[in-house]
Amino acid sequence: MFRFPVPELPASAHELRQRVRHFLAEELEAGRWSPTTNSWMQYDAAFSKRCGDAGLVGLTLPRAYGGHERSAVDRHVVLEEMLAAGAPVGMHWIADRQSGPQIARHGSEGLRHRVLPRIAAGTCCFSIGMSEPGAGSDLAAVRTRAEAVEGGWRLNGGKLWTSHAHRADFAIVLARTSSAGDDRHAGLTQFVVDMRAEGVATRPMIDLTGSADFNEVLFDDVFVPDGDVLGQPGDGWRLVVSELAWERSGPERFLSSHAVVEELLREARRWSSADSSAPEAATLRTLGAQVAQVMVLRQMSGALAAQIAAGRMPEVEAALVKDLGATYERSVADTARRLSAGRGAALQALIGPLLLAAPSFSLRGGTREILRGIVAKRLEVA
Amino acid sequence: MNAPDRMVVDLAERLFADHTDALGCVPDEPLNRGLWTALVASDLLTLMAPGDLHGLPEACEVAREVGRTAARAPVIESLVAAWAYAQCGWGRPAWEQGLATYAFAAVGLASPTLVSAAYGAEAREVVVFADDMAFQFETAGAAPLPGANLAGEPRAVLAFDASRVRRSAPLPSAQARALAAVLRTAAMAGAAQRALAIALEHARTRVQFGRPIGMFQAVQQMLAQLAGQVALLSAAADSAATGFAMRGDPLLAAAAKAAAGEAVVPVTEAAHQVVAAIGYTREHDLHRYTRRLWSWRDEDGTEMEWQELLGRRLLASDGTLWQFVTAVMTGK
Repeated sequence: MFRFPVPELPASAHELRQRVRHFLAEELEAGRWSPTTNSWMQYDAAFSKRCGDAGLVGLTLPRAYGGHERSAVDRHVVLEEMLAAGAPVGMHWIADRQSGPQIARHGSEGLRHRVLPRIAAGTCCFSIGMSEPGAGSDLAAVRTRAEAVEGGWRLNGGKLWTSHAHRADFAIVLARTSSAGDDRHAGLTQFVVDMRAEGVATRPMIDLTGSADFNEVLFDDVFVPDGDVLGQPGDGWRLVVSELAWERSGPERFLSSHAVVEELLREARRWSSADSSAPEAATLRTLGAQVAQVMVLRQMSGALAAQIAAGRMPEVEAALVKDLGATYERSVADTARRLSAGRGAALQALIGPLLLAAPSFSLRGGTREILRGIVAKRLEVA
Repeated sequence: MNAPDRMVVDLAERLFADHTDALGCVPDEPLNRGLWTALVASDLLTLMAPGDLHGLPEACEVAREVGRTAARAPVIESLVAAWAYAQCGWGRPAWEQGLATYAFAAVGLASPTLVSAAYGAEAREVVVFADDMAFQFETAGAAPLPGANLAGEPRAVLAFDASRVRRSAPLPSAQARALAAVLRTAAMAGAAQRALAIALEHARTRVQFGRPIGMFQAVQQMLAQLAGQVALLSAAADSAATGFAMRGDPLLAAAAKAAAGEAVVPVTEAAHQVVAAIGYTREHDLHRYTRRLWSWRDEDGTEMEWQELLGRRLLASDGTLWQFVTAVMTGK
């Protein structure tokens, strides 16, 4: 039975929320960016650095490595405020969400000191080196391989769907280092790869929306020193599963469409002020339904953050909330379209890109079917 | 004040369990006399008797048990009535002498007004909420029109007549409606929980094509989706149970009941699809829970009514939807 209790937020979390709101208000007033949907994919290196300067990146990383050693609950406060504002956090998002925690837990001392301070500074961009042409949902089928050489490893192969790879500093790459034998999850290793190293090449993948944030990455005899292995060789499957849990645990899973929700509200207020008659029931119900959905998904997402803050990693619950969130996110474009019926130029300009991006919401970070499979396994159906 | 008192929850679970069969269901009779007698003798009906909201998290767990066991007893009604009596300084309902229930009058006090009340035909006293007043109304001689909701639970239409009012006192109707909605949402969470348990058990034991049907991916996917929606409904209930207890903001109740109402279709569809033909009989237990979900969705405010309240308040507010959400959820 899945319950999602949320403890009362401490005063420090409220202070942090006000600080982030103040920061974002100042950014918006200065007109440095416009709110977008899917804003956690929007790359803006200057904004990420300003976030780092403001102490809003690497919140949970240890202070010894440049982090702020705050709880996952505090981090959740920062993330949800950023996403609700449609802020372009893309450059540091992956690093902050999963790569940093992954290195903090499983990286060598040298690696931690080299990389984590840069993540906390908001000046480090990480890519995710998991998917390949032949290994999407079936991640264990990766064929990128690394063979042991003097002082490290030689990496050969390729990855797909690698966000920001063309401008990333690093990628955490899953590769096969020994044959599987009976257990196809055995013999895998995670490496932190310097994306500027010799032998690394990227090619853009144009997605349905027309943007080129995704890449194909090719590794041609790329040298990776021993110090940049995460955990031990052979630990790769266990580590990638935990990295995926980080990836699935955040509030972006229900806030990707939020900029449209806010613009819909602004547009509905224009209808109210332009027309003295009472708002239509459909308008009230649509907006009210959005409030109710956002509230319950926020409750569930916050409960996950509280679990993480308590030292647990609720993988199955994260998959469940991600699935619910993706379903909600996918519904927003059409809800806005139906209610607005073409009204509001700013709104229509946001709905279009959201419609095009929406199919990816239930695909990325684990397809809906895979996520439901994870939940089904916990239910012990058969 | 956050998590409900474990001792109270355990007491409630044991009490209800004493009156359920091996499948966790009470007998399908108009009123479970044994259960009701036990509840009257326990302290559970008085959880809201102090008249404030402190006992609400525990009261919601009791309401959840009502849903989980398909109990036939005016538990929610008694909890609401007890709260109202205390707020009005009327002591508490005399359960030993008869049932108590509540009703909302949608439009003013034009006499006679028709109201619908759970166990209205069986109740001795009814507290009617209208125009920010509470009216204690005696049913003797009121000639109620008995009926039932979709789940077969006793519902009656009563003619609310000023001449039968025993006493009245000011009580904000919005508060009463919100409290009822929070308790009803908790009961819905219990019913949904049981529907999931039934569907899981069926998938594990029903063998077709030489294996339990739970081994088929199509069935597993449906169950996972069902579990997700049940978890969402449950989260809505829990959020309201603690939030409304702390701040008494009707918007918390509105969001919970609205979200719960929206979850009823995915929950009932998936449950009936998994349990298939046998679940479509009166002999099997599933109907007792899905019919309650369809009924309770419409009682103590439909999702449309609560969404309209939320929408109206949101439109009237300044600031973003996000600011509205965080202000309602954290009171800041």
